[in-house]
Amino acid sequence: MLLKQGINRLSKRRISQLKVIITLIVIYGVLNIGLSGRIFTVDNIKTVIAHSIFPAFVAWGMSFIFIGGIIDLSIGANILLSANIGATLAETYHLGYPGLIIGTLACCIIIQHLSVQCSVSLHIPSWVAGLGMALILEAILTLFATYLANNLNERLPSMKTYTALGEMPLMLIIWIIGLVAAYLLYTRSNIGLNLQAVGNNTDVASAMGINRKKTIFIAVVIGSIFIGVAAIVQISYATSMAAKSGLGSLSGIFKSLATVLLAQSFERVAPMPVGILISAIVVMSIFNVLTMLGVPTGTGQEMFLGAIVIVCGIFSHLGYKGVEK
Amino acid sequence: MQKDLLCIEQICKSFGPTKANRNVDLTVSKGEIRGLAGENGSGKSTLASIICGIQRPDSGQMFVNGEKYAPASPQEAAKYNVSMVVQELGVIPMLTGAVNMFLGKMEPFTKAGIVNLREVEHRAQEVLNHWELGKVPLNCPMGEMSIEQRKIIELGRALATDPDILVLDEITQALSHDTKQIIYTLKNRFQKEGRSMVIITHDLEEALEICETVTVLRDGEVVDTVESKKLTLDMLKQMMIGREISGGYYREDNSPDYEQDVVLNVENFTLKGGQVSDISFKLHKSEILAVCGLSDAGIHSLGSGLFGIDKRASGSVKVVQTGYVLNRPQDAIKNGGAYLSKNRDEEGLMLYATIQDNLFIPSAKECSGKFGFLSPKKINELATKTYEEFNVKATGLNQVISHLSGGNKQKINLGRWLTKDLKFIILDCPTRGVDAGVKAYIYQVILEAKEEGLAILLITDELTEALGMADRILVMKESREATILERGSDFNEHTIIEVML
Amino acid sequence: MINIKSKINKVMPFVIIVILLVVFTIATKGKIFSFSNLLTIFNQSVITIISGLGMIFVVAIGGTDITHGSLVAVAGVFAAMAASNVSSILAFPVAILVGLVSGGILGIINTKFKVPSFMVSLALLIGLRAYATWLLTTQVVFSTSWISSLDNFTPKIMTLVILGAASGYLLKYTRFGAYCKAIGENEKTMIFTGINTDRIKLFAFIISGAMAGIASVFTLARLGGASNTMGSGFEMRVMMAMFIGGIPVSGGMNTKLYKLFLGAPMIVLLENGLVICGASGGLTQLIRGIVLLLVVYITVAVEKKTEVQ
Repeated sequence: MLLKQGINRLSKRRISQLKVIITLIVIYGVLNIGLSGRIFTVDNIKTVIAHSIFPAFVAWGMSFIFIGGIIDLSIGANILLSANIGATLAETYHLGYPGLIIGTLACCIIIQHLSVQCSVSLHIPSWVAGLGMALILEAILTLFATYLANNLNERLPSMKTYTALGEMPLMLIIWIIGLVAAYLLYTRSNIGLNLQAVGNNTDVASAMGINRKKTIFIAVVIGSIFIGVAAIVQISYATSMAAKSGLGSLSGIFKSLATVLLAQSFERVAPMPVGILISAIVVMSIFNVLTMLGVPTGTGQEMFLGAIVIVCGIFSHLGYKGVEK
Repeated sequence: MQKDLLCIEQICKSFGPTKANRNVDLTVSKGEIRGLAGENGSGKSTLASIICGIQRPDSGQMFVNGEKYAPASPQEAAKYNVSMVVQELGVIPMLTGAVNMFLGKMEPFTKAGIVNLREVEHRAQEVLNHWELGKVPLNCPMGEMSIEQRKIIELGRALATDPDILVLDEITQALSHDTKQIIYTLKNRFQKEGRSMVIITHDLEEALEICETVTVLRDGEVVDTVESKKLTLDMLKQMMIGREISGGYYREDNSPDYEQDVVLNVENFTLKGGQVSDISFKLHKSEILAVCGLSDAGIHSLGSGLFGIDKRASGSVKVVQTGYVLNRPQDAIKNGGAYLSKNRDEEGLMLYATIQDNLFIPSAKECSGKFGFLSPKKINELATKTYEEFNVKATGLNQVISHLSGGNKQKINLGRWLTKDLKFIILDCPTRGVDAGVKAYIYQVILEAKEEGLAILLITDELTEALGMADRILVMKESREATILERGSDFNEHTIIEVML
Repeated sequence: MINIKSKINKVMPFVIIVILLVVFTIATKGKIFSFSNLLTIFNQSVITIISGLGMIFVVAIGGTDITHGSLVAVAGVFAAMAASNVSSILAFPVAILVGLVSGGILGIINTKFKVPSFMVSLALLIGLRAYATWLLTTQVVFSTSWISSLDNFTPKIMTLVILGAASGYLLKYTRFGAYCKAIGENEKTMIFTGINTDRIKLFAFIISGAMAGIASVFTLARLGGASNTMGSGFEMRVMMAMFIGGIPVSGGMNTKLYKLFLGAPMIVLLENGLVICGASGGLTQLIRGIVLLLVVYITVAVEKKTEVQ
């Protein structure tokens, strides 16, 4: 009898999953008709997918970091700085792909670690730590850019030779590897399971013998790697990433934030890594449609960005019974 | 001596002023099924958690198989083949049953950091089969399974380590009639294989049925350890209770003494979550109505539910004088009510604020004047008055309360409400974590308030407190009303425990 | 027993002011005390304080309102448009209305939908900035002469005194202020005390928005018109003014108005001093970030110390 209950519940899940997929297909279908078939063209699909890679990777990274309760938004500034350092090593110092990959990843991991330690060890509330670090990291990049401009008469590095990682066949492969890695790490690795336990209920997790600090540490390293990959792909694709100031780096990862929040809201239907993939495509499709409708990028789309984050935030917190600051 | 699997000597553990375990001596031999019985607060759970490494004792020693045993964590206890199934649910809802069974112990299934989930499931199934724990879906998130199923997974987790000593804290509470069989089968296995079990249970009949010996705890001390076949239910109950009620603590009179006027009329009150079903009673002026029951009977939810914190499904709570139906906490306050939750630190006080701040907030309205002016003078007067009236032992009104003793904090917690002009108050475990002196003081204060006409709903885990203070006692069982007793001849622990179980 | 926490809290802002003054007097060779510079410091402090007079309620409840920079821009645009097209009298009411609405949205989403205020206000920060830019793409909006006349000592001092008194009164001498601080201390306890915490929090956010509206009119006056970069970074300055002044990040009973009055000139002095020293935008932001982390760390560390005792 107990077993039967279990089977019923499993099929309930499958039904919900089916519902979500059908809803998405219907919505896309309607939009496609409304926009006279411009959505389902090969070129368009290619564009949307290419654009979803960055938010997907950042969101995967965020999912590993946020679970510990550390909502750190300095990730955006981290990406800017690490990507530029990687590009410098690759192009300016001619270290090629190894320079790009190792440089960016190493920077990402170290910087993210510092950022997280502000919250964990110094007990600064994670949002303040994130803001402070964002300011600092943005400033460092700006100073670096100024130094280059004044002393070497150069600009921030541009990816010219080693851009394969920003081009189509390789990007798609990276994306698929990312999905597989995120899925395995999150749902099937020891650290992923421990992380979910810690995120769900720290006390029970400790009673089960899981070391919270160690788990969060490893999770942050994993998360930073995903973020690092995002940085590499982005700078390879866009060839350069300009320094930002005044918390401008935060809007750069807003689409990723929306992705994570949206994925959180249907966590019961699809495991986070898969949810993030779907959400990334959904979020980027929204902007794809907005662009098609002629909504201007600097202004109109940014307004939608703010609204979408709020809506996704609402979805992700539905049914939350507690006190929220 | 060689047959002693577990040996406990002079274990003591205190939480602040509360002495949970006092010089406890216990020996369990191989293959023995021991029951651990006692009322709420007798120290059973504390002792169990010390045995399993969840808590450390203040003093005393333990031995397993003659070896010194002082586990600092459940993982260390597992090394000595001791495991436990705790009373509160200890599973991660997002993860599956199989995973929960082996969380934190995944090394054998892990290759290169990746866990072979299929193998985990396989092994989990093996555990279920080996110990005949029934059929439970193993690849379903635990959050979607019933409490029963979750308990079985927890049991599986404890058994997966192949324990010599298994401690079960109130496990049968969560299981239905059919699944209780599992425990019977299990205990027979254990006996045959020379393993021991320590079973904590409220169900005395069951204790006598399943366990060959029973240890009775009372007020943190061991009363005696007796073979079940030599015990009757009555003898067991007698051992659990038989203490003197210290005089002068509680009331002196022996009959109910309250006025006819009904202050609160509660009809068919049911909570959305089901923790309280169909409770009806009338609370009168000058009455102390106590509410007792086992820990999951719903007594605490009744308190927060009546106040309006938890959502009501049906029924009503009406303030008779005004006819007002209470829905949210603001309603209760507006109608002269108050609520003291049992979690004093999280839900009653602002730990890092001053005594004055904590005292005046509930009375902020009364201290306000024209243009909403919150008069510092009135605040100070009110705070000083309450501070002195309640004899708070501190350095002054501006002291931050986090460093005060539990007793003083409770005085502030209670005082801030009683200083208002209240019609009724719901008190949940008002003397919890408070030393004897303050306890007596609080009882005195409650009796004085009763004299002045306050209607008091006293929710308590301590039977003696209810017996000592109440005009009537509402006994709850499994979210419903079991009975309402009147002060007098019915007021003895036998009757209550009879009804509670 | 000495209440160490409140002692350090009281002393810290003064210590920092002295350090800042000494450092910058030396670094700028006294230029920092030129009359025109003092006037700049005054002007910037006033606007910061005015905005802070509202935000302090949000900080008191332990929430976050990081919208003020963009809100000033949007409110400023609307105020300028209303003043130019209809009448200057509408400047303040319109600006306040815009602020109210923004604060209201923030408050409702936080209280009804349980989304963290940090996230919502950040989304608003970005969205409102885009909105302001969009509004200005097809038009240039100038301040009317009446608005520009506000850029003077007298109106500013008067507004500061009146609003400061009102805000101080609200925070210290009314139930509302007491409840705000109590919610910052322990929101759960306040729910259990029967206080309508959702309503109080909503009002706090609304007041915060309204004050930003008022600040926007003064910003208009200084700039001579609305621009899409007006108020950029303003929200960080207001927040830092509060934290440097010693107001805890989680709010609570230690949220006192005078700390804002102390903190505002301090952060303005810091930024102003850096500019005079010739520090680049990048360096200023770097120092700002470090100061933010340092100040919050000290506040939290001090609070923790008194716990362990």
